[in-house]
Amino acid sequence: MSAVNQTRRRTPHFAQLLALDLQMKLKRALAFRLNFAANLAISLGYSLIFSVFQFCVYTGLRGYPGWRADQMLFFQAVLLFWTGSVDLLFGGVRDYIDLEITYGNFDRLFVSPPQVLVSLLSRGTNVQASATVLAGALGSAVMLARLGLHPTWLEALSFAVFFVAGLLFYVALLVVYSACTLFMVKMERLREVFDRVLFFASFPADLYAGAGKAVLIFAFPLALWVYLPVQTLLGRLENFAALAVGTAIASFALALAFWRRQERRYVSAGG
Amino acid sequence: MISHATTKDKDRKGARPALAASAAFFSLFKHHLKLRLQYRETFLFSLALHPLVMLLILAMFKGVYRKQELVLGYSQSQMVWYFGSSQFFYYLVWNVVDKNIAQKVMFGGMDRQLLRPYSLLSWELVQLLAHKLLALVFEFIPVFAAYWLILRPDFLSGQGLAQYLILTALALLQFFLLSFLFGILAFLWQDVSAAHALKFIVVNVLAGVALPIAFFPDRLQRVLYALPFQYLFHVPVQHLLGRVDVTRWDSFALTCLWHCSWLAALFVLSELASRRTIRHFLSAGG
Repeated sequence: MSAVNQTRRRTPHFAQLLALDLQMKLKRALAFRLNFAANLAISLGYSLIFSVFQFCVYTGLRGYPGWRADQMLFFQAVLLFWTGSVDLLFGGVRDYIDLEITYGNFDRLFVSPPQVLVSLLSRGTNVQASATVLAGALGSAVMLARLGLHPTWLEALSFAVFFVAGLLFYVALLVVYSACTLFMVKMERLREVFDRVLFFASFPADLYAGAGKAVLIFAFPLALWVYLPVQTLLGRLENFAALAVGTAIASFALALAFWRRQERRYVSAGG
Repeated sequence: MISHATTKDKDRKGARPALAASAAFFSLFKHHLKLRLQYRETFLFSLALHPLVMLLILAMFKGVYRKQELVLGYSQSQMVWYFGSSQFFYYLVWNVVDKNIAQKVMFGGMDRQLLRPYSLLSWELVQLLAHKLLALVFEFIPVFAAYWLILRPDFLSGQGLAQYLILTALALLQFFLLSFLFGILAFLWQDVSAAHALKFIVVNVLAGVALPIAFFPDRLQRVLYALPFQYLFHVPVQHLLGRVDVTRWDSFALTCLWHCSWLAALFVLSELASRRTIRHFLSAGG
């Protein structure tokens, strides 16, 4: 057996790398226990407060078209689960690449066995978000029971497909962000713009006027994150919603192509 | 042994502290200007993206205002500009002073910082002022103009804008002191990322950056109006949106006075905390 094949066999998968990173972050967090405990509480508190916020907006605007209060609570719970999940898996990716590029450490990723992008995406876990994921999962289960919803296998499968496609779209945006960092070096405001764009996914797409809803579902499918999974479980999915999954896959492919192009152009001296 | 000088100690040592601080300010201003010119792609890309955010806000509220003219006393243009203006908060007020201090404590660099002829507070403040002055010219003004082109602010007056900028300058100082207070906790706990997370709650909930305070239940509103955090964003933006009588400069002066008294209290607290916490610093990373 050649040495190359042996090396290939030993290279850990993306999921293994994610698990290792989570393990390492947990150990680090336990070294600063007070800060970790405070962070868990704040992370959970912030997510809960953010959900309350959305509900205040709902009542302040005298409801959203087609959404009852209990359905909105279900939407908030899934939103909590979604934000917790992406934060748990990829919450630190932007911080990581910003620091690595700024301080000239990015080259190290080129000499580690996994592909650069795999290394990059697997080093941004945020263990503090686990409380939010649990709270979101619990809240979603409670609201499902209170709404008397009993999803069929097909609805559960659709929920999973939309959720995974949403993750794929999120990763595509992260890849584009990272690729831009390779040549822009300092992202600063673009981080804030990134966060502001994500903010629009925390409202039901029905709220947007005119072409806004279609854009959020098909062209720039932020609706994949919370809106479409929730609509699936409420049994009122829009026609052609599956097209959003196609857009997510296409976005991911384009993001990868963009990354490869930028990776080839990358020079070590800070861009 | 590293010296643990606070603001007063350093100021006593310097022959002309004000002059030294202004020299540092101009050097840092030049430094940040060079950085900005070096990374101009980021700046231009960011300028191109901000109008898109405003367009999304507009699309959202067009749907909301289809059936009503006012929502909680806000007209459509005021509501859209309220959400758009939260970006101005990040340009002109938001800072990561706490993160900077914690990184120096955790990863080294604080010992060099303490050997500088400026106190930690003065150095971070001067650095921030230089950065924000550039943000005012290169970010606030172009984005404000872009927002104007997207949705004309029919509520805006020159007086309102001037009052907004004055109150925002005070908010900058208030948020700086708050971040500094969080940052110096790193001398005790090293990792203060929890405090950084807490800042998001302060900004988004208590200061009203995420959404207008009018959206909250009455009881919560009363609590929020009693706290000083509303001065960070809510109060300045009310002047920008013309939701207070901007012709009454006497009530504006009273608002400034209240704000300054909160600032003074925060400054005293920062100084006291700084003296106490800095003693715990050891150069070997904690």
